[in-house]
Amino acid sequence: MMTRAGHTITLLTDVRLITCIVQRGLGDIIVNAAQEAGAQGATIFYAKGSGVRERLGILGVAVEVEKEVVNIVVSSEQLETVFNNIYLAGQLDTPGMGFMYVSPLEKAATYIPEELVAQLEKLDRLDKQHREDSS
Amino acid sequence: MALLKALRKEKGVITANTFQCRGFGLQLRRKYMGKRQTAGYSVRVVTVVVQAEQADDLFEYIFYQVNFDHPCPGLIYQGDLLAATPYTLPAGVQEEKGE
Repeated sequence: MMTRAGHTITLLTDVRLITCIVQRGLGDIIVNAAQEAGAQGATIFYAKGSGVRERLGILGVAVEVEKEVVNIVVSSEQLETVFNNIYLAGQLDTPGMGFMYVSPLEKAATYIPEELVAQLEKLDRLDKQHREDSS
Repeated sequence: MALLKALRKEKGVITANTFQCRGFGLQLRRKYMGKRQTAGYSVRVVTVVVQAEQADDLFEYIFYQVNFDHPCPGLIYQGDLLAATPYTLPAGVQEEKGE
């Protein structure tokens, strides 16, 4: 936690950024899959892709050059579930559908209601106590 | 944009960019009276590239500048870059109109 003049920033330190690049129009499928798996939010923006498109399909028109880039911040615990759900929903095993990668983040922060912070602190204390007891 | 202007004027940061995109999230839905907007809501993303030693200070500065200490949709995150080139402006660049 960071504190300044009576205000506290609750830092989320165990977080990862999933970036998924898909053909234009498919970003919503990725967001829905991520949210179904527990992700809280996402952003989508448009981009223009280039790469092996010219080598796929007739005259290179088989793969949309217009892309959607989806950014999703998730906790490390959720990462695998969200990643797998996106992979399946986006059919990323199909050539030309898109790809995704995960970046480590040092920290993240957002507005967290005080009662939720209290709950999280309580869970954290219980978790620490449980670990101490079992070691 | 107010944040970019504040970063430049108060912190001397000229390596910040912003772009518009579609945002999805529970807090966004709350802000817009719970109505589900399947196409997402219009949001802005700001990226700031700074020296590692400035990062924590700017993280805190941006957090309070955009009112994340109050109920407000949005998220701020910080990560490491492996490398970056320095960026400086040529001397005598004039401010944009209205600034």
